[in-house]
Amino acid sequence: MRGVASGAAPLPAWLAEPEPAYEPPRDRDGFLRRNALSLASMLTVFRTPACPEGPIDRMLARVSPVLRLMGTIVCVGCVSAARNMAFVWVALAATLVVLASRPARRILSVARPALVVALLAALVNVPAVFLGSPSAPVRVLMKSFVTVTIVLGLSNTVQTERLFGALASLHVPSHVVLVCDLAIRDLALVGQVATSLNEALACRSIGHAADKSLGTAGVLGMTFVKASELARRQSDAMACRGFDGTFSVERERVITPAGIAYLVALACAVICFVYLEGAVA
Amino acid sequence: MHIPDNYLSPSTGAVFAVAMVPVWGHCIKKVREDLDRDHVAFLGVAAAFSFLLMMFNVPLPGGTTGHAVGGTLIALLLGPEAACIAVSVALAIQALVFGDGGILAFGVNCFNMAFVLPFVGFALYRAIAGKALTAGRRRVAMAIGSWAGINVAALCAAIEFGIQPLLFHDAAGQALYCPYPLAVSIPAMCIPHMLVAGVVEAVATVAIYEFVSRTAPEYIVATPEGDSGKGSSLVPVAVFVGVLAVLTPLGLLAEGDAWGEWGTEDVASLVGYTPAGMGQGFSWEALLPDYTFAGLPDVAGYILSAVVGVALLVIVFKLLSAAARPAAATGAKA
Repeated sequence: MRGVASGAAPLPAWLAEPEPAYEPPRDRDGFLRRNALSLASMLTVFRTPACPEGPIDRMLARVSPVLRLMGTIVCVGCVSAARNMAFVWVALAATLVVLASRPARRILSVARPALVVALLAALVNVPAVFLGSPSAPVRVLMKSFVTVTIVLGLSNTVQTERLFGALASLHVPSHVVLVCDLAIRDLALVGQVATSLNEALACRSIGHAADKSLGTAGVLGMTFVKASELARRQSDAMACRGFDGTFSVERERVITPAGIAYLVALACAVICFVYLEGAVA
Repeated sequence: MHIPDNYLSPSTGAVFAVAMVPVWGHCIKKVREDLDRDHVAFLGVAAAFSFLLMMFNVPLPGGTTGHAVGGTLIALLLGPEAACIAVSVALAIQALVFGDGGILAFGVNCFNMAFVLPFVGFALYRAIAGKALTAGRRRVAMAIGSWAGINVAALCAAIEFGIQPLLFHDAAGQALYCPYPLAVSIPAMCIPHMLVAGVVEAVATVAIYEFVSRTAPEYIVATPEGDSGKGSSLVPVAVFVGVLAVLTPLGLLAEGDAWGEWGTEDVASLVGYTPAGMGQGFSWEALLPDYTFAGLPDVAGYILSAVVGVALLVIVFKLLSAAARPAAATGAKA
């Protein structure tokens, strides 16, 4: 290197002058990353395949989605209707046992949103403390945590297709099931599109933008255009395949050994609810 | 041995809490170095053993009750540093959720049961067992180590109780906090622990260690035995924890309170006055005081408390395991 440098001609004066360094004004992209990108990426949750992990979830996976759906509705109803905390504690204990049987990643994916919702619900109920009901926030916090955990447990461990099959088994009109199915699929696709647009915007944005509304509006507008395009293509594809409005889903057997065991457990939960509520009354 | 709030002065609690900070720091660092993801998750099961053992109250001479702690057991399974973390988390859940052990006395309780107990028990085990490969000598070392560990911890608690009237009293000479001097607290704490609680601790330690070494030997890292290559499964251990949880109401058969865990009125009736610091002290409203649920029978409440406590411990340590280094491919199934 030394030889090359010594043999080279000296730089002309205009080239040797230091260039004025370009330093773009500092702009924190926290708004983009924490709001737009995180909101868009939340929609991609719909693409995450539900898979049972942990021994209890694997046992529950053998139960018909119809029963799981009904059981979830019954459990959520009982917890919400409970007037004393005894049944809520029993439900919390059962929920914690199911959570503890899952791997850490799954626990986090359920416990984090459940805790956020529960804390928010408790926060909303804080004024009740000053109105003579000091235990209201704790009661609401626990009920919210248990119910959200139960519902998330269902959605995390039962595939969407099986859930829609369960809806059809419950005599929900087929066009309603179709709309729900398409909506879930489209939400996932729109989330993917919005995430890609936001990532592109984050990579290409330089400098400080005081007004974030322009960028946000652009992303929202493009997402809307893309979503419309996707919907049109889907409609064309369905017409090409001769879709006549009939939406058939595969129905699963309800009465199986696992289903009977689940029904027995559900009956025990209902009896426990009735007994504990009666004990207080 | 769970010292409640207001038996010790807040300054005593603060000193021990500050003293425990470097201990916790060292233990966390050592656990992160030594244990992989699977073993940190297993630490939750080990903490559950400790939590459940502390619910099995046994009657002690003098009309009080006591319990095993299981600190030496965890030290033998995963090391004394891991035992310190596990017992500390168990004590935190007991204090916050069940009101067992004080909030201000949390540092003191951790010093006695999470630091002194497992470290003394493990050091004594090492000293006695040496490099012995004979199972008999190792079991004897475990029994002696765990017995000594809980007794040294009880002695520490007795000294902490006994120095209160010496350090904190009013102008009339009446104690502000625990009213019993060393001459009372040391025999009252140590003799029952030497005769009963220490024996229960030793039996529980050897029995549970033996069970884990037969069913899940790959999870024992502190004192691995020769044949640790055979298949490990946590299913029998999980079933065993469940059985222990269902059996916890046996702890309700022991009537009376543990020494030094009376209510303020009981202390007043025993010594003839209410120590000022206890009468106007700190009070924590636990969610499930004394492992009971309003509207549920005591037995059902006790079992439910055990289930909630165990599940919380397993969840906490599973979440912590996410930050640990990945497990080596040993074939252990978490």
